[in-house]
Amino acid sequence: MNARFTASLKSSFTASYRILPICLAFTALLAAQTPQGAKSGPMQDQRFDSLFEASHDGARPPQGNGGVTSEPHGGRMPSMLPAIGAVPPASVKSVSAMETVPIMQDGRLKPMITYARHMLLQFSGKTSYASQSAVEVMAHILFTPELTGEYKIFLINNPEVAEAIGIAPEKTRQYTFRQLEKALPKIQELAEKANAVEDPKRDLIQKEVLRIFGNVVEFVNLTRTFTYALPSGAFAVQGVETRASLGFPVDKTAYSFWDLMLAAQAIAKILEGIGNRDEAHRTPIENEIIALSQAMYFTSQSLHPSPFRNFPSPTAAAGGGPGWISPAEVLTSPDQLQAFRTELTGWSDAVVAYRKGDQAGFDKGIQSYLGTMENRAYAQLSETHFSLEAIYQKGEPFFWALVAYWVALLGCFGFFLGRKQWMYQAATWIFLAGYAVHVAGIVARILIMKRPPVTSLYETFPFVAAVSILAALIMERINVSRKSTGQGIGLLCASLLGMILLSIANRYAADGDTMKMLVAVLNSNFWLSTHVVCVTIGYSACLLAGAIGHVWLIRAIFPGDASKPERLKEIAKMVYGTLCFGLLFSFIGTVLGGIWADQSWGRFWGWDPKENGALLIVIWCIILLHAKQWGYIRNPGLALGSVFGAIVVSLAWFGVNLLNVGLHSYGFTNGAATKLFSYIGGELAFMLVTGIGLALGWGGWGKKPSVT
Amino acid sequence: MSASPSWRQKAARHPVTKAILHPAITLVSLLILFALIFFGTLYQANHGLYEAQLRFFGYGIVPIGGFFPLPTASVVMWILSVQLTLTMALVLRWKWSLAGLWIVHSGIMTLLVGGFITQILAVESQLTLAEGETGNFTTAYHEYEVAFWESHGDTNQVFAWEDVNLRPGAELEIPPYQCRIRILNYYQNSDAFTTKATNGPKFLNASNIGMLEQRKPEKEVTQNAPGVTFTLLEKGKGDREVLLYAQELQPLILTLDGRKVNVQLRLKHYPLDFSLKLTQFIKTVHPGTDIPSSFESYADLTDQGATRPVKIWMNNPLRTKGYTFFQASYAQPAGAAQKSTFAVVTNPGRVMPYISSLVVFGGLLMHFLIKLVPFIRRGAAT
Repeated sequence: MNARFTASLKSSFTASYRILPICLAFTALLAAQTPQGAKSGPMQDQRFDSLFEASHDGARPPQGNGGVTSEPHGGRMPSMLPAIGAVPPASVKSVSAMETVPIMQDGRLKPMITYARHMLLQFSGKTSYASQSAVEVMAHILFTPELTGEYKIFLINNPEVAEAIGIAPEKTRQYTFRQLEKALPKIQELAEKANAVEDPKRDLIQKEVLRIFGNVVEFVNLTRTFTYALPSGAFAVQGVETRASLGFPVDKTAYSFWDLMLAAQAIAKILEGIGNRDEAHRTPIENEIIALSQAMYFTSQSLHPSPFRNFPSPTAAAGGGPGWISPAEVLTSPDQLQAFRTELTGWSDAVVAYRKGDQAGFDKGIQSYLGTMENRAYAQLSETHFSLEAIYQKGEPFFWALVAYWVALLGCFGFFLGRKQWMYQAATWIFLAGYAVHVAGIVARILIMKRPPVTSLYETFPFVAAVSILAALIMERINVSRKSTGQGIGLLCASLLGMILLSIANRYAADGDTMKMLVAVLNSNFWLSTHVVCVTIGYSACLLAGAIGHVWLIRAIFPGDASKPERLKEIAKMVYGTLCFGLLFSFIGTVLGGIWADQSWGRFWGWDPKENGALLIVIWCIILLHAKQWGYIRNPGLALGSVFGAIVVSLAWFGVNLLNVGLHSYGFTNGAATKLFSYIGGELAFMLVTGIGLALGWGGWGKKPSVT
Repeated sequence: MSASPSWRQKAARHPVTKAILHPAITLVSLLILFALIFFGTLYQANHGLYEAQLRFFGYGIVPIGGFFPLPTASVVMWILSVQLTLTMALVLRWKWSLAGLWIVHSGIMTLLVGGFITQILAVESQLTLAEGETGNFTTAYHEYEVAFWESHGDTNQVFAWEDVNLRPGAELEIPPYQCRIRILNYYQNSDAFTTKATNGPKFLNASNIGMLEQRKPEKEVTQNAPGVTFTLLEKGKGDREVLLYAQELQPLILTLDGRKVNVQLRLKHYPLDFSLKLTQFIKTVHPGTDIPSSFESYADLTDQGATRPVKIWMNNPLRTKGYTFFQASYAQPAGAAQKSTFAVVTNPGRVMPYISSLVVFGGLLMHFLIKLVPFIRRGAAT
């Protein structure tokens, strides 16, 4: 579980204490009908009821309105989602207008598309649902929440967890909100228990329960974001004259909180006119207005801040606090309400139009919001690259690069089997196309975040991949120009490394937004771009050397033609050269790290695990190069040593994070330990087998090449 | 170097030189270093950095896994340094094609010398100030001292013995007060009790502590609470038994040489010849999160009567008169002034890594280019 997620979970936990107990208490009251429930008195009942009502759009059946029912799913238990009306709401074809709506989250202003994708990824592990894009799903959750109860977007990885919370496990491991809602009391109970345990001590099931609970809370919060714009039973204006007095159309009964807000002046005027007259002396219009204003008051008291923070608030920013607030936060503050009137109306119009299927109206509403909001937050927004980020998000460059590398890898194998030049050419071009996309992705990240692309463990994967591929390609180019027999080896290693490293990166991306703000000590572009970049280039080179080492060992233990000894010699030269390159950058990166540490912590070297890891790589390279130079090892030793070097890199890169000590321990995912250990185990077994193979003379190793 | 080639060659061919410079020693040393760093890092996770440093990276022998003895890192570094020095002085031939290697290895020498200077001469201490507070000395992280001083307003003459000298049985002179102390016991970490040990002496103590009991050192060395007991020997007076505990807030006041003297076991003090007054500490976070984006301390530095404002923040320490002040930590106690903690370092060797990194980088680059260019030009024919 990554830090951002834990943080969001914590905040949703606090938020949940505001919503869930109330809902649950109410649910329990209705379901049990115990004497205590009856004794708790009408006041309390009403309070729960009105809260529930206000935030759920018509859980209480309004008088004389058959359109809304209070008995959705689950018998007596009212749903936290609004009920579906007689005429289900429609939706618009394209929500692309919404893609660049700015959302403030985790200290970063991001476009809606990024926010929506990470939300859906966090919920379901995927970035789309039933051929709807994440933004489309988000639009449904926000604007037509009643239709999303049956969306299978909640991933429960572990069937045991599903059983523990009383849901029948499903093969797809995806569940609907309706299913989870029924299990909510159990989920909350387990989540509270899990929350009482310290993070490092939680087991997988506890983590999973917390994740699910956090997701449910976030989902519910999202469904309530725009309730202010949804027509609700509580705000139905029955009297024709009342409508006339508020300036509403005479033939329409259903209104929203916001409709009434816009008529607030007329309402206030009527309320003032009532004075001290008691109920018996008021007109029906006046009585209805009083009831409506009470409903408005309750609603304004029960709006929940949503994670959807899209209003730039100048007052909030001055205190150093959140500069961006959610619609609910705007609505609960009279000043904000007045200031953001245009934006709120824009959203309200968009919501209404969306539910009617009115594309033009929807776009117009969003545009009206965007126009006013952009003027307000001009300085902040001018620093963002939302359209680039939207392209980055939609384009998924690392995914497509990964696909290209797979194809190129197969092409390489084809080339080695058949030695057909056209195959080599095709593999090369496909590879280069993938590489271009890969590099474009990294460049986009640099532009968006305005910092070197090496600030999180996730980010180092695409970067290390890019650098090691570049080195491999340069090597390939040199080999081709030298007409070396090693043609294709560089390409093979490049595809292998690209494929492996980008697969790992894609795994990491599932943790949420990969563009996070930096803690203070990392907030230095100079050192990030020198020290971290050098160290990661060092990693890249040593990994590449390891990859070529694999190729050497595999080729050595299998029989080959007469050119085999010559080919092996060429490959060994590549290993040696790449190690030199690796030593150069690892050394310089390590020393620069010391200098950075001297600059910011006051000591050059502190035996911190990450420092030690980097030093291990340096020492290993020194050992290999000197041992080879002095004749203590030959090519087989060099190849085996380079494979071991790749293990050292994996330990230095993320193995040390497992130790959970030191100043560098940022970001590590669960289950990675097992994968790391199986990788190391696999490599050691590979070294053992090939080592024994060489010693036994497999593939003719150690024999003089036969004279032909 | 080319002035006396015969002398160099003779020395290089000498059997002793050959034995010392045997490449196997270098490789084995490097392998040992590799193992030490690997196991030392693992050890650190369970036993803390301080213990790991003492055990693996200091001087001595460490049993890996409890039985396999290896020399510690500092020993290995010395072996490698001696080999490197001798190799450069006697063996390495001067050729233009080896210029890169020469440069690289001189850079490594610089790094090792810098490391040695740092090991011997660098002093690390800290200074914590609340807003409005002025400091003119820094304190050690975990080294203690028994200090004697008289209170005379702002300026105090302090006499102190460092903890390394506080061995049981040791007799230490306190010249300013014409007396001696004989150490009874010194505990690196201890618990204090108000009760008196059954057959132990009655100790003089400022906080009514009757006895100390030794405790296992903490994983985090800064969390240790040392304690010391000693006998005060003054001519013409009876012996007095004194107990001092690190967590006492008040010093013990004794009459020595007819004067009232404060005695305390405290974190070692390092006086500064200037003073620093913290005016303001500011912590900012990324909007809407708890992720700090910066820590900044604003202070007034007063040196020989002249005062100037300074700002110390992450990655931007204050460097003055050989001292470097780093923003290290902070505290925001509820209802009290904010506190800022600086790491304070004096290290005469600190420029060495800067130089060596440039030198080594240049050397490696040169060497690899010298090798790579002909390799590419030559083609696959060779």
